[in-house]
Amino acid sequence: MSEVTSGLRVSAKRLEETINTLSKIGMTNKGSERTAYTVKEIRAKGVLTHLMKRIGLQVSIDGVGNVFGKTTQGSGSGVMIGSHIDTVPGGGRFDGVVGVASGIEIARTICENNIALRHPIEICAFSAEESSRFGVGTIGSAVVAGELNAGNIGDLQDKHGVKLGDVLARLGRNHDAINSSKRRPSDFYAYLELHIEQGPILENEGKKIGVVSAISASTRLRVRFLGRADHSGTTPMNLRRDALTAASELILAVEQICKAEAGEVVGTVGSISVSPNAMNVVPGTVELGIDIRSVHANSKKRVTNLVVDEARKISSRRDLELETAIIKEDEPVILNAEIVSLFEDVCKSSGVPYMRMISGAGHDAMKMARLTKCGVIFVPSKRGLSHNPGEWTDMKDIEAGANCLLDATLRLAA
Amino acid sequence: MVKEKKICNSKQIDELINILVKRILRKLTGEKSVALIGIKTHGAYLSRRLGDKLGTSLQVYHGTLDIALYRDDLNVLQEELTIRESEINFDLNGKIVVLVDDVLFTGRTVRAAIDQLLDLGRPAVIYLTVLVDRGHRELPICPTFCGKKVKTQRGERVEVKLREKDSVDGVYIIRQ
Repeated sequence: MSEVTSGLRVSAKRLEETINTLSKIGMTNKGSERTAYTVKEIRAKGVLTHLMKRIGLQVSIDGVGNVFGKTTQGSGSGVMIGSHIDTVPGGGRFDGVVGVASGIEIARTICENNIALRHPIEICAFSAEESSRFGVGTIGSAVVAGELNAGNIGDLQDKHGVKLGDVLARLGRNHDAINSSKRRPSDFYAYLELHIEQGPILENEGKKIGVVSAISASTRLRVRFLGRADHSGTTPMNLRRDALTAASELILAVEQICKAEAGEVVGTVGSISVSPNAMNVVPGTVELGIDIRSVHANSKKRVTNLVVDEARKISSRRDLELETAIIKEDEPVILNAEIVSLFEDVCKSSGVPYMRMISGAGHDAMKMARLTKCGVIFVPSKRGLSHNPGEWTDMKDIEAGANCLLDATLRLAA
Repeated sequence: MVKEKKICNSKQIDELINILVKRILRKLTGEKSVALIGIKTHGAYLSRRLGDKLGTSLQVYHGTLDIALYRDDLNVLQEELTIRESEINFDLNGKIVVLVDDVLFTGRTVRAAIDQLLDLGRPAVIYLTVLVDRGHRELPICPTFCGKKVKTQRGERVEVKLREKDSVDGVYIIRQ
């Protein structure tokens, strides 16, 4: 690792322009609409290639639509700076975009100052980081890391029944192209990501940078209680097999189980579907979508088992049938200690108040960690808001984060 | 039966290009550079021809646009949504842009091109150059520089052939 202390600083004005250029595409009065592989997101990727080319980066697009821009300087394994530009429906203007825009500004700052690079710098916007369309997130980075391939993403469907395989075919991407998107560990020297925190901790603590030491992973459970739909007026209370009251018990139990777990587990019943969902019918079937997250794999496993046990007890007590399915189970990722120290050192050197923290949200870095040493830093989110049109991060904070990322990039690549 | 009427030959196209170059230079008096953006496909070839002549007086930045994703009749459920790499490799912010197309008809292509340009940056000004204006506008769009105005019927086609792509130069009105 080079001992370069850069003294270089990004241009906050240009960085703000880049963020604006990307985030205005698909902007509506209900938030950002750049859902993965929709026209707006694909237009934004076209714009991204323009932003990369105009600063002299070599652009390429892989089989799942990940967009890369690489410096011509440096050889061999690269330092990648990545994030995403797709949004949830009604999303904010900073989520993902801040990381990609910072990468572009960093590459531009380095190139225009003619800094000699040992390792090339590669900026990347990964596809479908948000799970909101296909129910699975970080698809682009997972394909690059070899965790997903054409065989297991092709049948993923959105809520309209559109298959990801068909979407990619319309992008001109066949199975071979998708599978050839997998990259080798030797392609990378390190992977760095700047992201908004999407939570309230940095703001509450008065810190500018969060140095992420671990990314929590989620287990997603689908629990279905099957009772009997009955007339709400003629069915006595003691003869009911009400699926919604059972589900209500489980919702409260998830909260209690997570609170009781010492290992910092968070659990959310984020979706509920009631059938037949009529005011004068006893609910016959209820399906819950439960998200359980932690950076501790064992705690997460324990909580998941406790939740399933509790569902069994409830259904047995209430004479209901029960179906449970784990639809996703990711492993938490401990980020590279060397990069964590590097980020902390950079923050100390430049006098930026920082703290070490964990990430409750998933990021592309957790997939890239399969390939190379990874580091993530956060910048504060106002009131912790994210996935919301009100999402906000001050430019001063984004600038501080981008400069921290610039210094770390230089120490690794120069 | 298809009827084809040639309204310009190669020499006449060259003359129209010379006229356009003169008009552009007059408009850009005192300017040092211009960004010529050709709308694919024929606008891109015309843009190159204009650039070759303008290049003696101005610094010329060349770029092209594929407006497919910005069409107002794009069927997002049926058509290919290919990510297209930008072919504008310079900063558009503050530039004087001359958008170039072969035929101006409804104006919808130009609207799409302007929307795309504004996604990419914020030029100081966008002018429009066309070789042929055949009328029948559906949007309030007017060329800044026009080589030739041609009266046509709504159902006729106006086709510009350029040797770079079609091996001959010519402008044709085609009636089916």
